[in-house]
Amino acid sequence: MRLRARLTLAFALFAAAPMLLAVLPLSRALSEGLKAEYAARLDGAALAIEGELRHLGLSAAEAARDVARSPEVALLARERAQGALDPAEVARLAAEWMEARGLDVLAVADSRGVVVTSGHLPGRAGDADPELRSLFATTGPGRPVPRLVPRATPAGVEPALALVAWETVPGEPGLRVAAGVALGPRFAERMAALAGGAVAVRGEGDRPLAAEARGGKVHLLATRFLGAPRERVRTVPVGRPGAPPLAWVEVALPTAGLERAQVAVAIVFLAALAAAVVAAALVGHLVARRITRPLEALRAGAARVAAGDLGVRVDTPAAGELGELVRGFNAMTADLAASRARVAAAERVAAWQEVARRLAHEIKNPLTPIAMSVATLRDALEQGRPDFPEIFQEGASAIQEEVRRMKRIVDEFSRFARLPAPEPSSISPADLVAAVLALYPSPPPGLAIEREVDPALPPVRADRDQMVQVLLNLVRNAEEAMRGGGTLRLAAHRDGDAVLIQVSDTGPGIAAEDLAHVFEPYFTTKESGTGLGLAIAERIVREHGGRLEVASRPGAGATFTIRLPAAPSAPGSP
Amino acid sequence: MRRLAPLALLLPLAALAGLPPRYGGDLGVALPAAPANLDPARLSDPSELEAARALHSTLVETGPDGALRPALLAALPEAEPGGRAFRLRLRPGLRFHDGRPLTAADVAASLSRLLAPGTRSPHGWIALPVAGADDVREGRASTLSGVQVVGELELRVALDLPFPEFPRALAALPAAVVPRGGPVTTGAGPFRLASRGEGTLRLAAFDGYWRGRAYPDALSLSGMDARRAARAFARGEVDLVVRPESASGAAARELPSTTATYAVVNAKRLGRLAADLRHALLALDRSELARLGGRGHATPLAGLLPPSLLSGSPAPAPRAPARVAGNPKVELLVAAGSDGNRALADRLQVKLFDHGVRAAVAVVAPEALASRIASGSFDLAVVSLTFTSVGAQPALLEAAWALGGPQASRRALSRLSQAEPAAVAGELAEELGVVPLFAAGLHASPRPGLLGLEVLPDATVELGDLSVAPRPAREGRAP
Repeated sequence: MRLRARLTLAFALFAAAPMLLAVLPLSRALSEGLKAEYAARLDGAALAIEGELRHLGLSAAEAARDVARSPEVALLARERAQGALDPAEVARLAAEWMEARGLDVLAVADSRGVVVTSGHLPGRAGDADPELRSLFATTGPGRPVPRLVPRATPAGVEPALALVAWETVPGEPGLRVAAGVALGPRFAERMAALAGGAVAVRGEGDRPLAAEARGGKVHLLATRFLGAPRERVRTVPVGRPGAPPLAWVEVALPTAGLERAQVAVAIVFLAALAAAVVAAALVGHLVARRITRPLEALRAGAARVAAGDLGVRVDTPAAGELGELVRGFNAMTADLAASRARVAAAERVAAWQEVARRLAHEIKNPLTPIAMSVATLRDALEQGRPDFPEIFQEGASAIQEEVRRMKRIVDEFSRFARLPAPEPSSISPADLVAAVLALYPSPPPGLAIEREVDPALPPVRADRDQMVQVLLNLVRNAEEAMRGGGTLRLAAHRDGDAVLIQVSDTGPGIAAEDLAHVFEPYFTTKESGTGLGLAIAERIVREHGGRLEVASRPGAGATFTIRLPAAPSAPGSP
Repeated sequence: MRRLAPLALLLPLAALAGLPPRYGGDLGVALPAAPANLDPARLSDPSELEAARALHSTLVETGPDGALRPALLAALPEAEPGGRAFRLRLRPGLRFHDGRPLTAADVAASLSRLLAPGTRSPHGWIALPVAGADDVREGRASTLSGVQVVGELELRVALDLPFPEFPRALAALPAAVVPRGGPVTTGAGPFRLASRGEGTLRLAAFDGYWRGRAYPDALSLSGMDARRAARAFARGEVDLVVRPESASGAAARELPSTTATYAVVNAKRLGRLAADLRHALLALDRSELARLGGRGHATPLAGLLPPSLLSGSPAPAPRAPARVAGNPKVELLVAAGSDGNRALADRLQVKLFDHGVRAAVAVVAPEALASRIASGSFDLAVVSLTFTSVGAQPALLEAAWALGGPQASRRALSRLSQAEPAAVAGELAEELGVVPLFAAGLHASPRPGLLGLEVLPDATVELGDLSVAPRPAREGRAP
């Protein structure tokens, strides 16, 4: 990761950490606040239900009193006393009164609980109702109590939780009216509408008696069935004071609002965190850019220096330590350039010295025989030797040989020094091989020549004359290596994007310790070699963007490989 | 009636003075309900039965003494040798209220329409013994092949099986003759329909009544509950109250208990539960149920038929209470329109609840109840049957038709040719899952001075015989 990115990231993290530290407690505090408000609403709903239960109880007591004092009941009492009641008609009288008053429980019974007429259980008329008997025995008149009252429903007789009160019929001490309001579906529906949530009435053993939900997404009874947290439910027990509850009214409020508020808080804080991180990253990026621009320029400059360009100067404005660094870099590259110029001059001097030394050495060698031949000729002339002509002839030949040798040495030095720049053109490797082999219309005795050229080879871009010179040099070396005969093999084939031209011989090969030096100037194993042939060949190939390689094993011949990049194919060419 | 009311005050004096009775006057009659249906083939309750008695005439009728006597027929039906055919001869000169002559073809059509699917009559049992009954009942024929119109006043009725009591079946009011092509409110009874008001039926004396003109000029039949009937009676607004309870104390006459109430358990649908349910129902105190549901005078019912139709069954005693295991749930059907039956259903619901059975009471239209019973698509039903027939054998056919449908009635008919009615009644009750509960009857409470109150065995009153003075022999009265 680059320094600029690292700095940007560091800035962002530096901004995020304190934001996180601040956001978490703030979010928690807000969430707790919302929960507290929700709990307060729940408490309010529970209080409303308690109030409604009290109100319903009072309503039941008032209804019992009203019915007991009604003319209808008075008439019923009279007809009962006269024995003029039609059992079938009277059985459903209470049902009419009950419906007219919106009650759920209404019965007229004697003090033993024997039902005269019952609205909630008409078929009980004439029987002693254990529930009414128990009610009369355990509760005083006008006091509403919760009871489980068997009621006739469309599905049959079922117990219903109701707030029931009773009252004595005036003037008829043996006749009582029991009235009640059921805590059933209608109650649950009303309470749910009042609370704006879910209300459930449960009996013993968690038996559901009624349930209703209002206010949209309320998890009705979620509170119990789905294992929701108990803090989202309020339970109001229904029972007589001092006695175990007969039932429980549970209320739960919609949690969607609470959840939405919590989500909104989280979103706001996350957005703030994201904004802070982005701003910090932006600032970090700008600062890092200011810091790293000179560094980037220095890195680029250093790369160019490493590539050999010592004329590099970093012009990016920078201050402080970075400014000093830039200035130091520029001074360093200037020093390096100067040093390189000095080294180059020294190297040139050294090279010339080496050339002079070599040249002197090479020339000094023929000078000795020349000198000796001249001395011999002078001596023979002074001595008047009769064989002077022979001696002169021999000495002149020796001098001529050495002069020719010196000339060759000078020519090679001259050629090495004056090697012209290649003038590349697109040529076929097969043509190169053919041009070299054309010099051997008939191979020397004992030498076999093999040619193996891939006809589908792409052309190479090369200076034809120089490449022919290289190949000719390699062929001659091979020929010299096989004085006693052998096989010279010229091959050309493709290797990826390169074209390989190989010259192989079956001569004695090259010693392993010499392989590393065969391309060095002046290295030769031949008695009359200058050691410049392969050096020149290697230089030519290198200047063509290629490589000259050698592989050899002693006794198994040698193979020189010219590796040249294939010329890019012209558009439209196959 | 208003004309009659002041006159009634003078009646005791007139009677004492030996004043001759006279025709005329309006009579007011209070019934348990306003007669909703005036088609004799579809009548179903005592009020409709009473209205049919006033509007229609049958071929034969059962006299107060229980003896069969000719009515529209000139003589009692004559059985052909073998007992599988009867010859019926009408009186000459019979006319319907609208003046049309009453002929043998009308008789044949009236018998056929009892079985015709379009009539939806609960009294197909009357014509069931006649050959070709099933073809008509199932819509394959429009007329009974066994009824042959021999002449304008004579016809021959062939039966599938020997059924000597067939003439008694013809005495049932649903077998009354109505004109071909209707209307069904037109009959040959002592009164013709004058008007139908809200809860009141106004009838006028039919001058062409075969037995002679009725004494009253007009009749008002009104449905009244007990309180209203008592008030109307006390105020002299009605002359006769025919209701379950007595309105005139000791002067009231008890009509025969011909309305029987049953609980029917569908054994085919309930399986083993049916036996438990029957046991639980048999454990109930039917005397108490009779007091509740029967109203009027009611008696616990031991057998399939009320004692007035088939005597000899001992009064049932409550059995030991039994509790049904598993808290099963059943549907308890009851017909709409009857407070007594609804109260009874409520009572059964509570009693079954005490025995561990949850019964959901479903109130359905009477036709729907009959249809569901006939098709077997019910669990438990409370069924009240007002017998229109007199005599054990026709009553068994009637009960089997009402409680088990036409097939049950046909099986009963087949058994009656081989066994005594009491045995057949027992087998039918067991087969149909019937638990008899009680039989109830009405009271006829006449105003002081109302004369001619004659109660027939089918628990109807001959309203045409009522008069406010001693009756002379009727002018033109048939022998």
